[in-house]
Amino acid sequence: MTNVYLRGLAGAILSTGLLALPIMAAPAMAKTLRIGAQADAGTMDPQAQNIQTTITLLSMIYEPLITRDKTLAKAPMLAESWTQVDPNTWRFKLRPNVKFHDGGSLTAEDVVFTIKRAQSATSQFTAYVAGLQPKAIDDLTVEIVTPKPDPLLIDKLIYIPIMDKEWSEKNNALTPQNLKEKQESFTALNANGTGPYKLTSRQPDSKTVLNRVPAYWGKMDGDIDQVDFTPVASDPTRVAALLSGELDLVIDLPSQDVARLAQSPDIKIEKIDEFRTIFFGFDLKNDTLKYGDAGGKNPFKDVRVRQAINLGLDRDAVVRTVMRGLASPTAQILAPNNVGYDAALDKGPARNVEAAKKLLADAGYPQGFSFTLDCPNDRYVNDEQVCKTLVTMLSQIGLKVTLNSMPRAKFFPKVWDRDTSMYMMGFNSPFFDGMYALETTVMTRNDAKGEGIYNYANYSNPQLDTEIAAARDELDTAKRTKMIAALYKKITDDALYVSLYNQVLVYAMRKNVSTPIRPDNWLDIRWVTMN
Amino acid sequence: MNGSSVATLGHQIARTSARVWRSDLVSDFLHAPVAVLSFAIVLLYVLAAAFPSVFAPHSVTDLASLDFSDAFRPPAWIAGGDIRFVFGADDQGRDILSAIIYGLRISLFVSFAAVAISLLIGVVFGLLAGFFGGWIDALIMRAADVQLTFPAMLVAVLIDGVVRAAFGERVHDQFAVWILIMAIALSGWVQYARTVRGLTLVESGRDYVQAARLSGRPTSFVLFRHILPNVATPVFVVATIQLAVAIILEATLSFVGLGIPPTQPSLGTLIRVGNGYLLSGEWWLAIFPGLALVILVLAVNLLGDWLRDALNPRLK
Repeated sequence: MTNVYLRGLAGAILSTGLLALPIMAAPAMAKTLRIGAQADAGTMDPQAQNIQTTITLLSMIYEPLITRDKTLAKAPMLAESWTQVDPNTWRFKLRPNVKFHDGGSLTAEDVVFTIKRAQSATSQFTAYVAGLQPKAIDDLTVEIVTPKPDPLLIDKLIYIPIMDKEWSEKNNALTPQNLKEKQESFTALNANGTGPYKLTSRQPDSKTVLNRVPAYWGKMDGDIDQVDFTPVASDPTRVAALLSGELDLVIDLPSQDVARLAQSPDIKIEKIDEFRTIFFGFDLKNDTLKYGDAGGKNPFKDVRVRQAINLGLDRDAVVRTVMRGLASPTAQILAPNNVGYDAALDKGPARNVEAAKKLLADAGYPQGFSFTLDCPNDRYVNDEQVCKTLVTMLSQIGLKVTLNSMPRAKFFPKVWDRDTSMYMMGFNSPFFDGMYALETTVMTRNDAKGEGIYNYANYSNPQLDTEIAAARDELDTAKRTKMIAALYKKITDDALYVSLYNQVLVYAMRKNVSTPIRPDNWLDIRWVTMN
Repeated sequence: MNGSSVATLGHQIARTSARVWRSDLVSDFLHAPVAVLSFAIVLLYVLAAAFPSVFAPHSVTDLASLDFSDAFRPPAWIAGGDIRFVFGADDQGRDILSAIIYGLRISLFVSFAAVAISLLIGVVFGLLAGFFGGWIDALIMRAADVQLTFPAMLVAVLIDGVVRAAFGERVHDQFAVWILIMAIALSGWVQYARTVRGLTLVESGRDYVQAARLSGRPTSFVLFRHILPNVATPVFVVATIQLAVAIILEATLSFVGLGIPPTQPSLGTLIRVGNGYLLSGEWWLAIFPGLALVILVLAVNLLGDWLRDALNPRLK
C-alpha cells in the first residue's frame, strides 16, 4: 500500500516537475502586467470596432502614422515626418526598416491599403477617413488628398493603425470583420502589427496574451514583457481579483469600490476627469414606438416629452448615490476641455416632477406611456445601476419604463441597427474637439461619409446638417469654435439627447505599477512600468 | 396525460393525505421540536409570500413611491439607520425587508410550480417504466441516466439558452418566470422517476396488482388507482427535498442573470444586486436576502429529513 502510494507520489512530483520546466525556462524577471476590464475587446481587427477597450488593446500590437506623447501632443510614430503640400494635400515620410511581426516590411502600399480598408462598409472608422485619397509616391512616401481642407486630419489618423497589405491579402482580410453580422474572420483572432507587443494567444471573453517583440524598432519607457488582458464581467469579482493580487491593473472600477480600494495599502488609485459623457437617446424617426405603448404614437418626437424627461431626472442624486461623486452633472453631450465646450450648458434644469407631468399632459400624455430602455451592463461604469435609477425616476413622472439591460456584445448590434426606442450612450470626442460628436451623433446618417454613424436616434434635420457642415469646413479656429458652441446650445435646448454626467475615470493598480492616465481612457502601454 | 387521470391523481393524493392525517405521523410531528420549528418557519415564509401587502412595511412594486434620499440607508440599529427601514434600504431607496418579502413571492412560486411539474413528469415516467418494463423502461431510464450525468444547474442553463436562441430575447423576458419554472422542473424529474420506477417494479409483482390485471381492469386504472397510492409516500419525501433544491436553483439562476429579469425582485436577483456592494461596505443589500434564503432552505431540508425518517417504517 505504502509502496503504491510512494510510487504514485514520485510520479506526481516528476510529472509536475516536467510540466513546470517550460515555465521555469522563461526569464525569471519577466514582468507580466495583468489587466482586468469589465469586457473583452470585441475583435483583433483594428478597424472593426470603435470601442476604447478594443482600441487600447490593439494599440499595443498595431501602430498608426502619428501618435500622442505623454503630454497628449501629436508625435511621429510610423511616419517620421509630415508636411502639408497644399491645403488639401499632405505628404508623410515613413520610418525606414520597420517590420511587421511576421517579418514583412512597412511600405507606403501598406498605408494606402489600410486607409482604403478603413473606408469599407464594414469599417467603424469611416468617419476618420471619409473621402481621403491616399497614394504611394515611393516605397516610403505617402500622399493623402483630402476632399476639403481638414485641420483635423492628423488627429484622425491617430485612430488608423497600419496593417500589412500582404498579410491581409494572404489571409483574406481585405475588409474589416463585420461585427453587425457576427462574421467570423481571420482578423477576429489574429493580428500582425508593427507595435512593441505581438499577439501570443487569444481566447475571446477569457484571456488575451501579448508578448514583447525583441526586435521592436522603437524605444519606449514602458518595461512590461507580457500583457495578460482578462475580462472579468462581475464588478465585485474584478475588484476582489485586484485586492488578492490576481490582477495588477483594473481600468474600469465600480464607483462604490473606489473608497475601499484607496484604503488598501497595496493599491494605488489614479483619477482624471474623463472626456466621456453619459446620456440617453431616443428613437426620433419612427412614427410609432417600436418598444412600448403610447397609443400608436412616438412621443419622443415631441420636444415637450424629451424636456419632461430632462425635468424628471435628478442628476445630482445619480452622481451622489450611484457614482459616489465620481462624475460631474451635465445637461449637454460634450465634456469640458473639448473645442466648442460651453460651461453654461452643463447646468441642467433642477428636478421638477410637477412641471414634467404638466409637459407630458400638454403633449397629450396625461397618463404617461410605457416603453423599453436599452442599456449595456458591461460598458460604462455602473451602467445598469444608472439605468435602474433612471427607470425609478421616470416612473415618478408617470412613465412606465421596462429596463432591457444586456452585455455590450448584444447591446451594440441592437443600436447599430437602430432597433431601439430609448438607449443609453457614453461618448467622447476622440480629438478633444466637439465636431466629431456633432458629425456622428446628430447629422443625418450617411455611412459612406462617416456622418451620423452613431446617430442611433435616426434623427434627421437638414437645416442642422448644413450648419454642422459649415462649422466643419470653417478654417478660422475662433469662428469655428463659436459655431460649434452654438450648435451644442441648439441641440441641448432641443433636448435631442438627455444628458446625465461626465465620468471621472479611475484606474486602480498594485503599488508597483505606474501608468499615466489619459482623459480619453486610452491606456498607452508605452508608458507603463512595473518595479 | 388526460384530464381524468389528473383528477385521479388528485383524488389519490387527497386520500393519501387523509390517511397520513389519521396515522401517528401527526403525534410524531408534535414530538419533534425541530420539525415543528421548521414547519413554522416555512409556513411563515409561505404566508408572507402569499400576502406581501400584509407583511411588508412598504410596497416595492410602486417605483414612484421610492425616494433617492433613502438610498443605501443602513439597518435601523446602525447610525444613520431609520426604523422605517429595519434591514436598511437598497441602491434605489427600497426597503430591504419589503423587497425580500416580495422577492419570496417569485422565488416560492417558481420553486413550488417547478416541483409540481417535475413531480408530475417524474411520477408518470417512473410508473410507465416500472410497469411496462422492456424498451419503454430502457428508453426512459437511459434518458434519466444521461440527464443525471449533467448537474441540474447545467440542464437549467441549457434550457434557458435554447429558449433564448429559439424565440429571442423579447419572448424570453415576457415568459421569464415560466421558462425558469420549466428549466428547473425539467432538471429535476429524474429523482422522482427513479424512485417511482423502483417501487413500481416491486408493486407490479404483487398479488393485488396481478388480480386487478386479470380481472380486466384497464392499464391506466391499475397504474393510477392501485400502484400509485402505494408508491406515493416516498415521492412526498423526494418532493420536499427537491423543493429546497429548486429554491437554491432559482436563486442561483437569477443570481447569474439567467432567471428573473433584474427589475423584478426574487431572492436571487436581490443577492445579485447586493453582491455589487459587498466590498464597498453596504453589506445589508446582500446579507439579508442571503440569510432569508439560507433559513428557508434549511427549514425545508430539516422538514424533509424529518419526513423521510418518520415515513420510514424501518427506523421505528
